[in-house]
Amino acid sequence: MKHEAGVEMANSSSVQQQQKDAADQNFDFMFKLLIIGNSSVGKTSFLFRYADDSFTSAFVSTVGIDFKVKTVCRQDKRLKLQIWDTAGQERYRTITTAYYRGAMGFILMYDITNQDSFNSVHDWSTQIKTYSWDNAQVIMVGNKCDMNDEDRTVETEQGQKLADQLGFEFFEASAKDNINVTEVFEKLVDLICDKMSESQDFDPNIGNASKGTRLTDGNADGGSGGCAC
Amino acid sequence: MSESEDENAVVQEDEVFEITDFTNASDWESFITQIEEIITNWNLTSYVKLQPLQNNEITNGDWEAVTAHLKFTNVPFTMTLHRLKFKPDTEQFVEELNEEDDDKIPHPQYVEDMMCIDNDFPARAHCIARWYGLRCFLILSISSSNGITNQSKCNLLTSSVSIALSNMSCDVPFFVQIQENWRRMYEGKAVSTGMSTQFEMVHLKKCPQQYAYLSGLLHLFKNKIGLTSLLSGETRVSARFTYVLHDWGIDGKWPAKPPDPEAVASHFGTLLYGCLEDPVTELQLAAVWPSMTGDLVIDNDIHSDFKPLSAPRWVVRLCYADDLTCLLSSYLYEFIKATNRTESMSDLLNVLEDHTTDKHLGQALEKITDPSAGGMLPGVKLASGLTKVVTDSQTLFRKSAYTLGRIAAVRGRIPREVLNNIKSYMFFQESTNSRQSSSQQQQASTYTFYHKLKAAPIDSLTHHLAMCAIVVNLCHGGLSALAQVWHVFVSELRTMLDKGECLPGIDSSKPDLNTCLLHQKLQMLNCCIQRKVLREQRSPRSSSEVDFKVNPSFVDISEDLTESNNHNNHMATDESKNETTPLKEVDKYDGNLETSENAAASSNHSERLSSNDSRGKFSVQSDDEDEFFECESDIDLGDTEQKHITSGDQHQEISEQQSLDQVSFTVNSNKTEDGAIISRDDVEHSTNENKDSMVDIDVSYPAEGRLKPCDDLNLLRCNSSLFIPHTQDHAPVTEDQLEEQAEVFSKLGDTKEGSKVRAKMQSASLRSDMEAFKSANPGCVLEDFVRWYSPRDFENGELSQRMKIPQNLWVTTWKSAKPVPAHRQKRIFDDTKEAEKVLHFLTNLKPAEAAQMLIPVCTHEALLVLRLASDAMKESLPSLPLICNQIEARAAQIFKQWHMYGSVANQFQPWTKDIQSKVEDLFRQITFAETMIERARSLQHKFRNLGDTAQVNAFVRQLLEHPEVPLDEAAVGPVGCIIKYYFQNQQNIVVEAESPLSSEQSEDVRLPKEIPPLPKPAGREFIIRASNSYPSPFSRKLPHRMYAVLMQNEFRLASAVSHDSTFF
Repeated sequence: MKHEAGVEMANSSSVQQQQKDAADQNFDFMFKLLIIGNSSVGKTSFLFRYADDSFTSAFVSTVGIDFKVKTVCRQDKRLKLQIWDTAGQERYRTITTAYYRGAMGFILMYDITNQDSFNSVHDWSTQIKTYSWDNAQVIMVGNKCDMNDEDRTVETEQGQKLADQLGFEFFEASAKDNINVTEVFEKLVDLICDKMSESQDFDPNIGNASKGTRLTDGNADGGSGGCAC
Repeated sequence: MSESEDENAVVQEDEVFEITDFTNASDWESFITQIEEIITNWNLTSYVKLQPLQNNEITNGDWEAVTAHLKFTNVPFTMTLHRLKFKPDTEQFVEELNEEDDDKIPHPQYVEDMMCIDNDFPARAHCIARWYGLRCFLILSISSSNGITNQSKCNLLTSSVSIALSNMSCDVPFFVQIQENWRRMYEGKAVSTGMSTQFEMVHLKKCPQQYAYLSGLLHLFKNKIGLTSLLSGETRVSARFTYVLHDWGIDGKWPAKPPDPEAVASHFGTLLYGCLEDPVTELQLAAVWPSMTGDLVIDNDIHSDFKPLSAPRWVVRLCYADDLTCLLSSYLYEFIKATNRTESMSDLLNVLEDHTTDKHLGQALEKITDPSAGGMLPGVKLASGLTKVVTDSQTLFRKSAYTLGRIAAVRGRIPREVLNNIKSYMFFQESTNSRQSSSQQQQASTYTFYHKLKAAPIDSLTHHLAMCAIVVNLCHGGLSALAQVWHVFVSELRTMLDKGECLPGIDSSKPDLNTCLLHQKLQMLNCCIQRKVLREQRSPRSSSEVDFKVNPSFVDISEDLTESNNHNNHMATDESKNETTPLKEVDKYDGNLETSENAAASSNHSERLSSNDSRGKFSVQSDDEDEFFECESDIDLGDTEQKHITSGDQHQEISEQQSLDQVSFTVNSNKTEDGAIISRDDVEHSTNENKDSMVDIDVSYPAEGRLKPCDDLNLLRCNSSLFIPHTQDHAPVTEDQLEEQAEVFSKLGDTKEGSKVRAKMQSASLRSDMEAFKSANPGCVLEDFVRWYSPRDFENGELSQRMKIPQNLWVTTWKSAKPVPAHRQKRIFDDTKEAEKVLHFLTNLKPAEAAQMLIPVCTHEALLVLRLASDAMKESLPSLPLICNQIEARAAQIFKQWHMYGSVANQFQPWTKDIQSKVEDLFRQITFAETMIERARSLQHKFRNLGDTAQVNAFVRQLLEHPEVPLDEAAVGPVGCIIKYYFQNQQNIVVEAESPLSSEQSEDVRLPKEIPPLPKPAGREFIIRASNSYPSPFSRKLPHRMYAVLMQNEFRLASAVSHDSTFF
């Protein structure tokens, strides 16, 4: 019940998109998600693992922005996830940040074997705050956790600590060994649904002017009651 | 609710069950069964005793109402339980009590409640609770609107009810609503151990003479309960007399100074707020006498002991205007009305133009705005007319706004001076007086606020336009005025584009996608104008260069030109971002003097660039302002590049360069005359090499378009530094363009092929960057590029695995990329085309659509005004900031969801009904908040003499938060004195109004007659209580109660008489 309400909300905000796509695809609602992070942290691999359950050791470095679609079922509703994959290179920032608006969820990825990519997490989160909707949900993912300990440069605790500071959910994952990939996306969808239903619950309270005027009603009623009863 | 519906379903099933199986069951029996079912379901079948009612608990407690539906044959009825919510742990406490009092038969709960004197005349309660003092009761009413007027039907219902109550041993009073609903007539019954109570009512239009005073009512009541001897038994009486103040006089009326319409009409800086009529229409003063001994009070037609000035308690309550006209709300409502109109610019024009045969829109609009056309100035008449109307009566302001709006729609035209004022307000960024300081104060807190609302920054051009539009719409004749302002606005944009003037109040950044679409469009236009300006500043010099470059034999001439070298350098820096210069050069070279920048010319240009021959001519220049970055660190390159500038010049240029760092894309200017001398051999050499293989390292061309060295990196295959090139910036986009692009990407589908096409589509800037890089780094290889562009793809001295994938886009693009500095590449962003697109977009808007686009900006302003006002009032209205938060959150939600564009970019999409109704709802909330503010301000004004600000605020807060406020020390307290003063003023006015008549007739009588301090009471209420044995003198002594209200047009008695059902 609660989640349905949330999904409804999501629906209305992407309603334009949905109407067009609804013709050829069968789904109830659509979520736009975005994967961001430094270059070479494994964003595209992560996405292909989730969408196609495939893994290749090397994908061509993404130019600009690309997407994949995955439809999942959740509480009898078919959710179409349109997952945008972004180029991590500095030079593409201006292009990719333009797509932040309208994204309901973000996967902010770093590479546990690359300190730089971890150091950049803070910048990426600032980018999210600057360019995204303020109710967008973020999950922080340390990718390549299949790597040997000697290759690892970012400890799990460090990642968890930073995620806590930034207020993000945190996972370590591996696209290669298929660790936590589905979990990350499912968690993100959950977060979005929860957030949406929250604001939906909030909605009727303020969305309805009559509620606001209750104060007056009370007074007016009482006013006539003074001598009219 | 859902519970009760379930129950209803159960009930209906039972009904069906009974009909089929017990054929004897009558409709009546099944009706009673239904009632019993409901009573059972609501757990009312046991006698409960609760704690005594606390003082004013009926008013202050939480009430709940549960409803169930039932049917008598096919007639639907509604049964409702009204109940004061239990406080936790009351019931346990009560059970103990019950056990203690086993000997006496305790009175049931409802009798205790009726006799409790702490809840007389509750300020806010259901009428049954008010009349009988009950905290729990049932009501049965017919669902249709007509009510039950047939007496036998009433009897049938009351009988059903009393049977059900007895069967279920339920001691909750049960009322049946009878007669027409508006009369609020109830008949009721309550049954308890050994007793029952009858609730009866009298309702008349006029008060019978014999019951007009307490004495008559007492007599009636005593008779009713069998107190035959008037002196026997004790009656207790509570009374409450209400007096009405509706004229606050000069001292009390609000607004003390009504807003001047002329000022409103010419005030564009911000929106004004405030009401146009008093939001507090009436004050009701109630003098209350709590429980007194009835037989000792004298109240008859000759004398009354009820003297209000000496009453022990005074209570005030206020009545507020229902539909208050407030300025802020009026702006918004009138504006939203305008958004619904469908007239196009030309429609409005036809109305405005009486005799135009030539309906050409542009011309006709020019006439409208042209001061010389037509001698009349209807607008002036309009304005003065408005003033006249308003000085007569401020309440007409609202009507005048409406009606004049309509008149103006027919022949309205904003007077020239006003239009000029508007124009200069919009386009000249004068600091706007007080507004400025307040907006500065807010700057920090509201920085993100307009982003949240997807509006526009305060004092931006968009904001100014919105303010003018909303004011003009309210005060200068609605939609047609809006059309005129819009026309002026768009024309001025065109002029500024043509003249190459940047838009005032629009920052130079690219479109901010978190602002409204209109603001984004203006930002886009501004970006275009900036580039156009740079291009045009550069053009005089470029012509000379072109001549020179086209033909190397002009070198001599160029020598002459070197004297202006300094100047040139300076210019070049200014325009270093102007990538279209070469375009112009090409145009001139082609003899195409019409330098109209278009795609054809630019592609022509790029074709030329791609031919090695032309590259030989055009690219063989070093450029100084790029040079200076590297000259200190890089000596190797010295021989390929010429340095003409002295170090002094360099410094100058560095600072200039830095000041221009926000420039969108940087292009070196090819002004070095000597460039032409650069060896043709080199060029040919490179041509050959290029033909052979692009992968081969080509060091033959001179470096061009360098920005700065990239760290300490050296090129891998030759011994020189790796330079970051000047690059073309990515084209600025507005939201709708971005959406369109995303749409195109989506349509390509989620396939490998789709992915490839998408990558290809986006590779333009990659190619551009690669070409610029090649140009800046002769002899470079892909590895070099990757080291700058994507460092992590260069590992352990080689390209990463993914970069080595055969035929991947990076490799293929690199192979086909030619060394071309950014400034000579085909421009990615065509500012001329984009500027035209923006103007096209704006020109095609209907005035109503323009108004829609401005709604977020206007709302933003309104919310700022509201926030300021609410902060100022928070002492009196502590809940208001929270309401503001809610409204702001709601607004953010609405405007975020609202897409103003359709699937095609550059096409406005009028809002949906859904969005419109949400915005209207939002405006209602703003109106509500404004109304609250005005109530508070009005009350603050009225009670300003109460004491210091804190005292006034505290009292006003009480008045606003509670339905009734008791006054300390009643008539002699500080508030009492102020109220007496207002009443006295009102009385004086009333008496003066009457005096002309009486003065002629009986002057002698009138003079000594004192003006009474209070008017006649508008209503008198009494509660009479007594205990007596009833129905016979031998019955148990039981409490009885009667409530009476006497008004000019209503007389009502509500009695509750208890019978001993055990002993007669």
